[in-house]
Amino acid sequence: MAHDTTPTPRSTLDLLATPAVAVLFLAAGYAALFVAPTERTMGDIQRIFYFHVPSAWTAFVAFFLVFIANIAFLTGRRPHWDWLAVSAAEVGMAFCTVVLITGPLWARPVWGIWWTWDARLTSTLVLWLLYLTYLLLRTLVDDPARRAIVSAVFGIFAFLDVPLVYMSIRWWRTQHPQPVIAGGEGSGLEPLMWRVFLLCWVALLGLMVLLIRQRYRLERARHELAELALAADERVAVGKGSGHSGT
Amino acid sequence: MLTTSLLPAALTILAKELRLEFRTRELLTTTVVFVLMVVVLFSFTFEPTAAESRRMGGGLLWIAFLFAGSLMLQPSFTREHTNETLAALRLAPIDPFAIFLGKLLANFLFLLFAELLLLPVFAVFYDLTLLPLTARLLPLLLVLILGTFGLVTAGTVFAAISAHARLRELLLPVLLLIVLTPVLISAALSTSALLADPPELPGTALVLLVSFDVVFLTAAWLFGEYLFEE
Repeated sequence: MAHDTTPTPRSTLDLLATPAVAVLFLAAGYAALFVAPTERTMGDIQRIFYFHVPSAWTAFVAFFLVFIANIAFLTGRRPHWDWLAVSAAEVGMAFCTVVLITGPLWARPVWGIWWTWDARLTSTLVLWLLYLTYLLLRTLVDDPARRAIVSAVFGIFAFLDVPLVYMSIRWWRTQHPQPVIAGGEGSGLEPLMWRVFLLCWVALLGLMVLLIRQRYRLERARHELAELALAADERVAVGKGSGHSGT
Repeated sequence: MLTTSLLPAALTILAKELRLEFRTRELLTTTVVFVLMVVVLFSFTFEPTAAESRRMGGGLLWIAFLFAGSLMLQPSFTREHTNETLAALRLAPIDPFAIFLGKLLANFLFLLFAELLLLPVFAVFYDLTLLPLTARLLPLLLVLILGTFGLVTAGTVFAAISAHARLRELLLPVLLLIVLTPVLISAALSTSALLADPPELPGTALVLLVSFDVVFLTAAWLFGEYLFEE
């Protein structure tokens, strides 16, 4: 590890990225509220879909990044991958939380209930719990090297569990009568709706990249701080040692 | 240099775990008593009729097994702490996965033994029949074996993970219970289907259980050894 104490200068790309994502986000919000046509049966409530579903897809991208970072860390042992894993996991959790909040907001007026144990809802909840557990595990292991290894292994297991969770919950739901009308979004979007939807997704992906980058910087700064503190401690210890031998 | 191949080494570890357990029998005894208590306490909270217990029996039984598994697996690594014996095991010229496999098989036998002991007790308490043999009991044993293997595979890996964490006794169930969602769903629903009249074994559940076992055992084989590093 290079002991580079000067803060890394921000590139022009960094300076442009934040306003670019902000503009993209405003455009996406405007498009979802005013450009996209009003859905026939659900009315304006349906517009939450333009942030609900892209948030879910963005969370999946973030969790996939965690998985990649976990494997890369275990095979290469560069701490950067561990920083990326925790950053992507936290940001993915944020997006997954948005999905779990916007879902009931939509379900209450349309389905008449906040929550139902429908296959997709339950799978999303289990996904959220899996990564909550991943982050919880990280807080309970003190040694940074050990934490990086065990959380990487758990992250891989959690990610491999996702398709099994999804399939088993879908099977579980078909075993029981569906309490709720099917439908929702799904079958066939109008072309303009699709375009607005994709714009919203791009905006959220941009936000995801920005947030992960910020969180990664924080993790790196913490790591550097810990190394500096360690070096300072050593210097104090050495200073004391020589002081004693002098007297 | 590996001087012993995987399976004999794993069996040696298994024999060591079994010998250790049969000297005290404390883990098995405590687990059996624990599951028995959970089964008894369920009837206080539900007081089910025969029809209801056929419907919920699978769920009750597997929740009890899951709790027992998530509590009994921690010692398989923490008891190596006392004399730093895990370090000694790691020095042995064997594939690190053999240590894992040996402990996994031992845990599997312990939990399965406790389950087999409690299955008839459960049947008596909740007015369930385990016969006929081929239509109900044998498929039930198959579900028990596949489900327990998945539970123990994930559980042994996570026991190695939580062994170095604070609050490890609490952390292990947290890690395990959510990851075992697919096992709980498929094992509990197929157990209930087998306790129903007429008994039937849902094929999807078997596919899910086998997939879980294969995926997690493979992952343990590929990534488990990293957990033994110091």
